[in-house]
Amino acid sequence: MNHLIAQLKGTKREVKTFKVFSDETVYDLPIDLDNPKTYNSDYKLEDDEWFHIPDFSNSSYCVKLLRMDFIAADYNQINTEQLKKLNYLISYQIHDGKEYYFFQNISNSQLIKKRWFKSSNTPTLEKDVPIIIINDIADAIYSKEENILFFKKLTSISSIFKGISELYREATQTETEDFLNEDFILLEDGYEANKVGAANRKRIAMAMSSFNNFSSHEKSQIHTYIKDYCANLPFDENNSSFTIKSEDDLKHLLWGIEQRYYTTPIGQEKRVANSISKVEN
Amino acid sequence: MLNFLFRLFLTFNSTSLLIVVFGIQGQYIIEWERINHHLTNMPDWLSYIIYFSIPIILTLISLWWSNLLDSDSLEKTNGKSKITDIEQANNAFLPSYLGYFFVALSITRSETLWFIFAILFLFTFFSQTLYFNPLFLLIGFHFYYLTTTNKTKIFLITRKSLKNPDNIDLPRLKRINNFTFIDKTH
Repeated sequence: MNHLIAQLKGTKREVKTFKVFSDETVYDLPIDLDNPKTYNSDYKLEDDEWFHIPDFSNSSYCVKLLRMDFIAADYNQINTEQLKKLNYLISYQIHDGKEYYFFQNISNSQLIKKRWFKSSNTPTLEKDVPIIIINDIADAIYSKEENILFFKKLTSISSIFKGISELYREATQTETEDFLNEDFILLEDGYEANKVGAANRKRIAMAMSSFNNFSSHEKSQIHTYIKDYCANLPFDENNSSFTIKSEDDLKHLLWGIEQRYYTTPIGQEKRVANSISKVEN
Repeated sequence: MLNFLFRLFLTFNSTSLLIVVFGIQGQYIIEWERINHHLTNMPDWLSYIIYFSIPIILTLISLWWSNLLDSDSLEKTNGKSKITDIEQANNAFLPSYLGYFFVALSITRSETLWFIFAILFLFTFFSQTLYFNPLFLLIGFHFYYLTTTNKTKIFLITRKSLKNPDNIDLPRLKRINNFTFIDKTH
């Protein structure tokens, strides 16, 4: 039998897990869970793709509920007061004899406190009856049998699975400063570490690991590569350094380090990939 | 709301035997002539049987009503039972019921009866023993305490005779309260 469970906001000592109702299929099981992608903040999912974390129950992000047997009778029935403190929903569903947990984060936009009426033959105005909107697609799906967590957007599940946002790592202030102090970067026009935004910090976190693995020969190869594609980035041949004046300049440089630029074999058009994933053979 | 009314009803069913015992002890019999003047010389025991059958009928109604309650389940997943421990509780009601009967037998005035009944009703309602209705036993139900694999203890009313925790599969339960469940599998 399927069950809907609510997880509330609150302190550690309070009981925060309650049963909402049973015997309903709240979410449909997506048919596109096969062939999931490993999470990469640089990759933009197609509509029919999911990110996944295999062996999820052994990861540090896993919630306790997924490690236990699911027993609906363990949880008390929720009441109206408790529903106001809703944090996220878990729908436990059986599909073809396999257990799945569907997670949905409840933000303020999904908890509607407006006046409303049902479109029926006898409409009556409802006040002070908040309604909770169920999304068509759950924010995350956990397959117990395969022990895999599937998700589409990391930000929507970061309040459910504590610490999972570390997958979506931004460079720290020190890392950003260290990166900008590299010999091949020359800052101008007052551009400095404090002005680096979240998007570029994520790119720095990614690029640093690639860049640190380059040999000195590979580094000079990258310089030539960036020069070829980024005509707008002035390159000082004597110091072999790029002049960075803005966020946009830094973005182009970081794309270069990630080797996102390419030329089409036919037509010789220069392009940049705004989403990348490895081609598996 | 439905659940609240149902629990009031169950409480009434399990305490109403007190009134029946009082009626029998005080030899209150139905005045048949008032209903129909042809009905004369009806035996006293017929009245008593009718009194006794009222809680039984109400209990049967409560069984039907329980279908409207919230569903729950304790079914096996991948062949594994979710119960680790069973404890039979059929006889647990006896001490409290003997108490009810002795109270009813020693009451002489009906005001006293209603007052005592009100107190008993309140205590039964607020303690979680409202399901200890011995009439369930008459219609083939058993009472059990079950401990789940997550170490939660629940109270189950079922027609099944449960012995081995590994074989327990309860796919259709109804939730009376957070502690008490009634099995609807046949």
